[in-house]
Amino acid sequence: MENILELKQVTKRYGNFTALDNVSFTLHPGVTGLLGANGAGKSTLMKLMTDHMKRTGGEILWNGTDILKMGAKWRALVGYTPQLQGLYDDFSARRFLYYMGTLKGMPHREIKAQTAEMLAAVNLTDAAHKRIGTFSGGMRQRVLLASAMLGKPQVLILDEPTAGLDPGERIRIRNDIAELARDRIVLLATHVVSDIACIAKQVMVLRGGKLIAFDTPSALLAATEGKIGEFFGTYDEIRQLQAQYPSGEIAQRRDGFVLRIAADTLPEGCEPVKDAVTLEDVCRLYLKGEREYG
Amino acid sequence: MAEIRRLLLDPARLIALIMLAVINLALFSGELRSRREEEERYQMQYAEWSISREETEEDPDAHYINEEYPAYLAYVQTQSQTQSVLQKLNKAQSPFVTRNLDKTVQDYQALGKVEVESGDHRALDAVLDCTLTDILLLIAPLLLILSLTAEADTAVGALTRTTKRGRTPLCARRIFAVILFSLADVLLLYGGDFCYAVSQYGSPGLGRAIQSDPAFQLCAVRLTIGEYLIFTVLLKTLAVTVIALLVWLILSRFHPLPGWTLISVIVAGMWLCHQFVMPTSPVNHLRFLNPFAALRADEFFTGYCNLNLFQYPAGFLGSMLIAVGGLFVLLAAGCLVLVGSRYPKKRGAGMVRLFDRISKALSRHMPCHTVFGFEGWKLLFAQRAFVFVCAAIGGAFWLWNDIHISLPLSADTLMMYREFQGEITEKKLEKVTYYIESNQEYAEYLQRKLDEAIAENKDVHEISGLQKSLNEAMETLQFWQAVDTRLSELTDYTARTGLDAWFVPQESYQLLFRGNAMQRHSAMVLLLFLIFAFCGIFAFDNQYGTAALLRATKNGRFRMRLCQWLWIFLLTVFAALMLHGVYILHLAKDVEFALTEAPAQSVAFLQFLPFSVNIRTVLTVYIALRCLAAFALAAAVAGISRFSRNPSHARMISLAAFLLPSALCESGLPLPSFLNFVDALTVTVS
Repeated sequence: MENILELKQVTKRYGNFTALDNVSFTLHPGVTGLLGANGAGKSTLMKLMTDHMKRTGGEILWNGTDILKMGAKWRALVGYTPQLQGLYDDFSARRFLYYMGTLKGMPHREIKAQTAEMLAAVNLTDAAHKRIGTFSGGMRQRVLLASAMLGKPQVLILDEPTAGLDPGERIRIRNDIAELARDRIVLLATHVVSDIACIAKQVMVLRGGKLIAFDTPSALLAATEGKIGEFFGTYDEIRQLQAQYPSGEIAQRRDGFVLRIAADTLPEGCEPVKDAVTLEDVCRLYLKGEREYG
Repeated sequence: MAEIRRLLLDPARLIALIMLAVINLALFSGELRSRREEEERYQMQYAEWSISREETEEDPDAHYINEEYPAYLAYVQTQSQTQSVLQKLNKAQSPFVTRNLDKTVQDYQALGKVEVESGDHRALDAVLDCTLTDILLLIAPLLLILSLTAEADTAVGALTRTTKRGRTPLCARRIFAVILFSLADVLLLYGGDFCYAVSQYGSPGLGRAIQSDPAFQLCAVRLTIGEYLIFTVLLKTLAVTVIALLVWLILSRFHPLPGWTLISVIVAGMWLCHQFVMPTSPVNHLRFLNPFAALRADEFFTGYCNLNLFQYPAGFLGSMLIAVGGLFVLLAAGCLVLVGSRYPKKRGAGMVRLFDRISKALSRHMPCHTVFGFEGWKLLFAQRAFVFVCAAIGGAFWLWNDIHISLPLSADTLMMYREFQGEITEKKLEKVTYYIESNQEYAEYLQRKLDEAIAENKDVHEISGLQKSLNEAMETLQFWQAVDTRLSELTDYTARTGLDAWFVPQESYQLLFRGNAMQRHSAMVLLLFLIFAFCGIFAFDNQYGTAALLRATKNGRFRMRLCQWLWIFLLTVFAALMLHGVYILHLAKDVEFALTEAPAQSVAFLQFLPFSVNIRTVLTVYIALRCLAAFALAAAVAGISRFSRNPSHARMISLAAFLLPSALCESGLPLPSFLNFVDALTVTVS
């Protein structure tokens, strides 16, 4: 039977501020991309899903059972990488994975075997005994990812797992996540839209604590038809227009400048883009006006 | 100026300096109180057990001023003349000896007529030997130097070097800042000691000649006490600055591992030379021409010595000033050139490699497999609590040496005294009566002999010998009378209450149960241990942002917390047992441990107990209570840690919340007693 993680009207308030407002969706095995500007509620949503903080309202159900009722049983099913690189500088990579394995309640033999496996998966076998304090940002991120994958959890909640990785590492990790997601639920929050575009089965977009879109990438791309356009002109013209469309992206072409705009109604002189619409454009359309997107 | 302001007025640095001053004050006040208590105890026993000498003896202060000091000055002159004659007879003698004698006479002649005045000099004597303060003095400037060397490795270091005044001028300002910071450090710590001593004993009179204090009898420099204090502060500042600059210079040119090794070798070498080369040694230059001699400072005023410089005598104070001052100039110039203008050396790799190697070895050979093991690893090694555990062990050894509970009696008397310990029997009662009678007879016999000797106008030595023997006999007699009284009290008590009571030495139990200055001092050390060891226990996860990650795991909540609390408990009990256990060990050493099976009512102040219980049980409950009190405080420190962003914040808050009020209370400030956490740690029986 396929595992299902269901969120029903999940709400989180900090005093008067609503960080998440009646968010509902259902996750099935596969990668679900989570997009949103900074402060949209992505990390809060993930913290609620890992039961790190108390929710104000709603339900989070794992195969029909509330995760609060499951308690430690639920946490045994979850692998999580937080947004901040939470690692101890004085631990070696191996020791940290052993520690996480112990906290996950894995048997010792299993910890040993899986630690070696995960270190190899994230290409850290040679650095296994080095202090994490000497690691680069990318290496630290890989340790976190390995710790999330330890114990082969049914649900992987990854908060910007590819931040700080070089392109090669990112592709490698992305492929690993896709491989893992074949039989488990993966929720992947990132600002690198191309990561989601490559591997996500579904994409959800959060804005101001509300879920404003949740669909397959192709459906989301289709919904942008006629809403993405490009304006050619001089640099001064482009700058003038950008004042009205701050989320527009300026690019230089051989014969001048071009401003790529995402708007429900394109301005005059703007040519609609038919092909080569990307998830980046989807974000620009849904998140226009948000800090991260202009 | 901006750089100097930035370095000196950095809030974190200032707070650290103030906290260091508080810790120093807390430890110094404890030490002073225990020293004072020891003196009082000695004086009380002296007064109790010796024949009243007040009538026969002159006030020691007046004796020093009227007789001892003038006699010393005269002695220097006559000794010189005698030696000069001997010198002429002995041609093989080194010319240094002759010149040294001449210089000594000249120095004391140059001193002229010093007006020594009587006054209370106990405050001055109290700050003469502050080894702990001298060690603590080095910490703050070294932290400043470490922040400077750490900054050099960062982007800020690279940025400042690209600016117009970012090299030699900046370095010069930083050297100046180090001097000012060292001065502030000395004023706060050493000044704090002196102010505390003054608050306890009263002012020593800053305008009096330093020679007014017998401790400074040998001083050949014309100084008032106030001038001496200023001079000491400046000397200590010079020493601290020199050591700080030395560390800076070495760390800026060497990788940390060889750098610290070199620093350790040089500093330890200097310290060992100062500590173990005798002032009269032919190589006493190593002792006196040394930054540690300047740090100690007082020995240049409490003693007199000339160094042999190519057969010519040179005053040790002047020589030291030239040597250490010269070293300061050299180091400052070295810093300007090597830190300021030369290209910086790449550092950090050495230490990182060392840590890496240690980490690799531990990671390979010491894998943990339980949550408890990992939490212990985090606390002991990642948060460096093992350093404080070692410090607690060191503190216990230091206490062991400082505790004196043996009675000031002859070995024979003590041996006989031990015979009486235990159950009270008829035989023992008869024996003590016999001892009293025989001692009475002996004392009377000595008294007669003394009277005869005085009447016959015999030799002074014989009379004083008889007087001494009589005093000893009287002391022993009074002691046996006290034993007899105690035995009678215990017999009465048993007859009255029906509860059994043995004869046990009270002093050891008094020391353990009643809380003296030494115990308060060790409680202060325990308080410091609790703060430094546990301030990071929960804040550590907040610092590294791992809290969310750990909470998302199966055992990352209850079991992890349980293990952390278990470690807090174990380490607290360990430290409490180490620091309080030394008293038990002393008890076992000085008193037969089997005597702890005696009924608790055998100890005078435990006679209020209405039920039959032995001392060992009371002792166990008592130590358990102390451990519990320590655990309650540890829990409070851990509670602060839980809500702190990082261990440094938790440490600062804990120091301010627990140590500061305790230190102020211990220093004698009239604060509410509930603010004194030392009280809580030294549960006493009253």
